[in-house]
Amino acid sequence: MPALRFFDCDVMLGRTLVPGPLAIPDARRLLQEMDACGINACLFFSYAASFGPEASDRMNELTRKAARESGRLVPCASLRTSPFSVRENLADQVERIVDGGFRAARIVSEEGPAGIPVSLRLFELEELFGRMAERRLPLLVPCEHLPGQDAMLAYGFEQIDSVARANPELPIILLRPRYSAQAPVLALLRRHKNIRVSMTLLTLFRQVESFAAEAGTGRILFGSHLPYRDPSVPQGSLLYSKLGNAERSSIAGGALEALLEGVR
Amino acid sequence: MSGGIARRDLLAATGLLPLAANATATVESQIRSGMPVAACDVIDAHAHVQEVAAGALWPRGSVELIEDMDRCGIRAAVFSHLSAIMASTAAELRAAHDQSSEIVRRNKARLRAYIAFQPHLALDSRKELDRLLDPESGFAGIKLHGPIHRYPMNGTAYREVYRFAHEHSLPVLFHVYESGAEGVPVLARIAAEFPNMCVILAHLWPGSGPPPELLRASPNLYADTCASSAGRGQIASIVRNCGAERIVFATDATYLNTGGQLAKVGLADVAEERKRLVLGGNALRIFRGLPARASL
Repeated sequence: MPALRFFDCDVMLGRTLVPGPLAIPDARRLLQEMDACGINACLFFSYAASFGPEASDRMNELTRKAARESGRLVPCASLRTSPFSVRENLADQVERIVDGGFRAARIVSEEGPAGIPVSLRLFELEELFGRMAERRLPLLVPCEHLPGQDAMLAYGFEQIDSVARANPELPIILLRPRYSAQAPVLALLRRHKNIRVSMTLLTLFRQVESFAAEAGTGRILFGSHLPYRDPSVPQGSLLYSKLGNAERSSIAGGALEALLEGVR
Repeated sequence: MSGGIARRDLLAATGLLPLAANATATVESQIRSGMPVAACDVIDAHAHVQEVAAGALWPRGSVELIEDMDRCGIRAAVFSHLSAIMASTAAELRAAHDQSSEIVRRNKARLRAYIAFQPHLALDSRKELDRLLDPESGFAGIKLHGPIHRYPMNGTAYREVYRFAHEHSLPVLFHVYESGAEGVPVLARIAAEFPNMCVILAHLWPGSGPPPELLRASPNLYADTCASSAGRGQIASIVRNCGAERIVFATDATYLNTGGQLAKVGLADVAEERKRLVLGGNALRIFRGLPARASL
């Protein structure tokens, strides 16, 4: 079997307010980590704990700076979902994101009990998502919380469904849906061709194969969730899957590469 | 040499010696290339089967289990039947164990089974334990799932199991995942009370890993490696803190994915010799009557 080239869609750089034991502080360390884990490239963002919606600007600056260290580090912007300044149009950030060299944008939740739960409500963000769709800028949406009660406070499956339906040209990547969310995630994949999923927590027996059979390998993406999780679990799931070489290559990185090339 | 065990055979039996084929390849290099692991014996101490109709989104049958074992290079697995764990009548329990026995008979070179003890069917479950006394039955240990049965670790029915396991020197695989921080110390005390029983804590430990001091203080207590996700470097840290000789490789297949569970151990930053102990050497010591390598 030819060696797979892993292009990771879900990596975080930087320290959180409550320090994690394995934070990756800088680009040099991230590249070492990627080498150790056999990861060729990654779509990453730099986290920076900060108060208020302007946190995204700080994160994006740090991300841009880290991305300059290596072509293997592909920058993903932190998307501002609530306005910072008077009469700010959130959709205006899309041009800045694309022109700044970012290849995708993601939802980043604020830390701490005072953090306002992120919403994907269309009446708030319709124009933003519309502009992202025009530029084919992928939207990365963390989904680990979805089977639980946190989804009542933040966004849930219904809001993702609404965003995908209103913007069929907007590539949406669901990050880390849990295996227990199989039924609603499969329903979203069947309903919306613009939805893709990372395979990080698709850890049931033959779940990657089942999802690939349902949605096609172009819609399943390798994601590690470094530095929190060990990439070996999704890597092993793929390396030993029943899929053919072309399908494995697509999931390992080919599909993400093609998606990011579509940004305009 | 006659009448004794050659050193080489002894090392091979504990998984410490690489197999002749691919002797120079490491576990990591074989996993990175997606090849079946042949660098050492790989024994899965925690698997499951349940026959479901073809075309299932989530296949869980013995055929699929063996297919995945072949792709990964897992020589043998000990499984419990999901229908036995979920049995709510004695007939269901017996039928699932009959099926387990039949699956082992068809795959004698690869599989052994657990008796699943259902504490709410205590008398019938106790009768089922006697299958373990027949060396031809294909059963090699006992599976307890306290959280799903909502039964306390120290409950009367379970204590009967511990006595039986102690008397016959049998391994007991205990699902501890939802038992919380207070669960393992209770089990450690039970393990001390029944020293001939070998207790394997399934699913590592909620959080970063089993408490090393408990494992060190309890020579008959082990932890298996299967869990749906792994923290970065988690396996290496557990092996470092608890000792490789106390950690047992497990996949939880056909519940969880086989390859991911293999890779998380095989790619861990752990010395090759220790990795071999975890992947198979320890299980070969714990489980009597696992199929010999020559039977393949």
